[in-house]
Amino acid sequence: MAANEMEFRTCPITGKKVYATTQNLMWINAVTAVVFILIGGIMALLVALTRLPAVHLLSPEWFYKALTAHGLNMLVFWIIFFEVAGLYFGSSVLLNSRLAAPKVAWLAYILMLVGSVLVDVMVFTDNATVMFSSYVPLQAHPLYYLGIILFAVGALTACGIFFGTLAIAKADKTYEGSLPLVTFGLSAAAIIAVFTLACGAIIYIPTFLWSLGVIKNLDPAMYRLIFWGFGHSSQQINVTAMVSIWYLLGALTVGAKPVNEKICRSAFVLYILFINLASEHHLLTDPTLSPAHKIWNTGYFMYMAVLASMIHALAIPMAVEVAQRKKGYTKGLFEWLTKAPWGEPGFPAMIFSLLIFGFIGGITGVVYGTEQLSIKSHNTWALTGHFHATVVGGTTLAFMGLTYYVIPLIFRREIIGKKWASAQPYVYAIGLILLILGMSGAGILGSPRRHWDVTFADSIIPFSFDPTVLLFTTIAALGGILAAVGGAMYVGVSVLSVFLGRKLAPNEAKLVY
Amino acid sequence: MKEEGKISNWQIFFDDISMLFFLGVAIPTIFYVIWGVMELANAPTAVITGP
Repeated sequence: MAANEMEFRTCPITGKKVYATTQNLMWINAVTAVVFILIGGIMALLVALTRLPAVHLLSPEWFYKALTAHGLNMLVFWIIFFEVAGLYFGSSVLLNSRLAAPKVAWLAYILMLVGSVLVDVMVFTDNATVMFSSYVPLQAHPLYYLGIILFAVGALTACGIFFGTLAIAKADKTYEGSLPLVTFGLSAAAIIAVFTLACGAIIYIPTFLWSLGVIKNLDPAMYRLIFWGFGHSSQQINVTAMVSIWYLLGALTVGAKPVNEKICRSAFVLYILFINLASEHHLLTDPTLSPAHKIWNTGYFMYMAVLASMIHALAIPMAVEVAQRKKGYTKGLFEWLTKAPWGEPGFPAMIFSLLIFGFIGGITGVVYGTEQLSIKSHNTWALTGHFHATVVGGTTLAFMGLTYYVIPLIFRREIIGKKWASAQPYVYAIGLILLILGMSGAGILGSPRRHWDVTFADSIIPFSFDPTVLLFTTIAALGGILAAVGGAMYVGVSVLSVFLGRKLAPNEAKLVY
Repeated sequence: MKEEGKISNWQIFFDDISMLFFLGVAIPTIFYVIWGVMELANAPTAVITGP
């Protein structure tokens, strides 16, 4: 993979310089991300089939192991590896600049890989069945904590490479004026990532020492406070990167340009300033923190980030409408929408991502994020429904849509199975909508999250939910199975295309179709 | 009337990634982490009584 730092090719479609070092690093990070979504996806299917009482597939030991692996592989490894590829794209490719310190970027990749493999090995060998949150005093093997520290340090280093590349591009004057909007959005994601990953490294170092016996006591309340600076904020990196990708997909699919870029940039700045305060949501039911701390962080300030999401949610469809109307699709109110490229995977992926994130994930997030409703909903399956709408329906679907453009543009391979690629966002999105609505419905009726047996069949004190819970649980499981099929279609198309797809000629300009 | 070619103060602020970086790390660190740590550190220790 060694390449001359200054070696580049010019993209025949965008005219951008693609440096060989950037291309190789993007390739390895994206391919690794797909491996982790495959592991996380298999775990998701096993969890869904266990939650369904009619199947109840796994034993309790395997259920909690699978659930721990599912959370870490999906929320952390898949997404952050893909985001690192995105950061290199947004800095080096979009700014026509060489990447800062490619050797350090490889070191960052190795740290992340070793860390994530270490975590998975510990989870699958029964040494870390502690769930994603790994709350103290639940203790895992020291190598589990070491794995997360290595991963966080590697990802933090990748953010450093991103900022270094911005500095090089500015010094070399590879762009004029302000940063392009997508790069600006990714800068916001990288800034949010620095706080997030620093919290991860800071809390896992004492936890690692505690697991070794060097530190005798670790305050669970302190752990929860700092952990959620990492745990929840990692989703805020995703939100910001996802919105940047929406703008990119809008441009790639219909040539959309924001009507007012300043408004969009203001919204990204609101994310930078306020979105990380939403970590407080996880502490709303903790007795030690004061109401002032809770209300300040989840109320006044955090709603500025909600405002930012609403700005993006209006700006992107507006940009698409303007671009379509410029092409002549002006008949009636919605010809611009009906004549949109629904057969190209990027467009439905962007629209479904926007709708699932905004209407299901965003609204439930704001509702459950209030102190009074948090007490009722926090440990129910409804919360799981909320974050599957944001992380999976929002972020993962947007990343999947972008993959179908990265493969021909950056990796220079033709997509294999174009019809499968076109159908994939629909299958995945419909599955997710069923999954999320099922989880939300069952959760609102009291079905607990992270629970092996919702029928409480072997509990000492018998309990049964309203029978509607079973209906919603079945809907969720069916949705989970359909989403797993959509996920498998994504992995199949992307892996086959990257490894076996026809190599595009240097000047061949071909996107998905 | 806006001067021709003059960059607005907002644009200068948006273009200053270092300033945004500082604010983006400082605000959650102060309001979420430091404030929270201070409250937890000053919480009275529970006294366990009983036989």
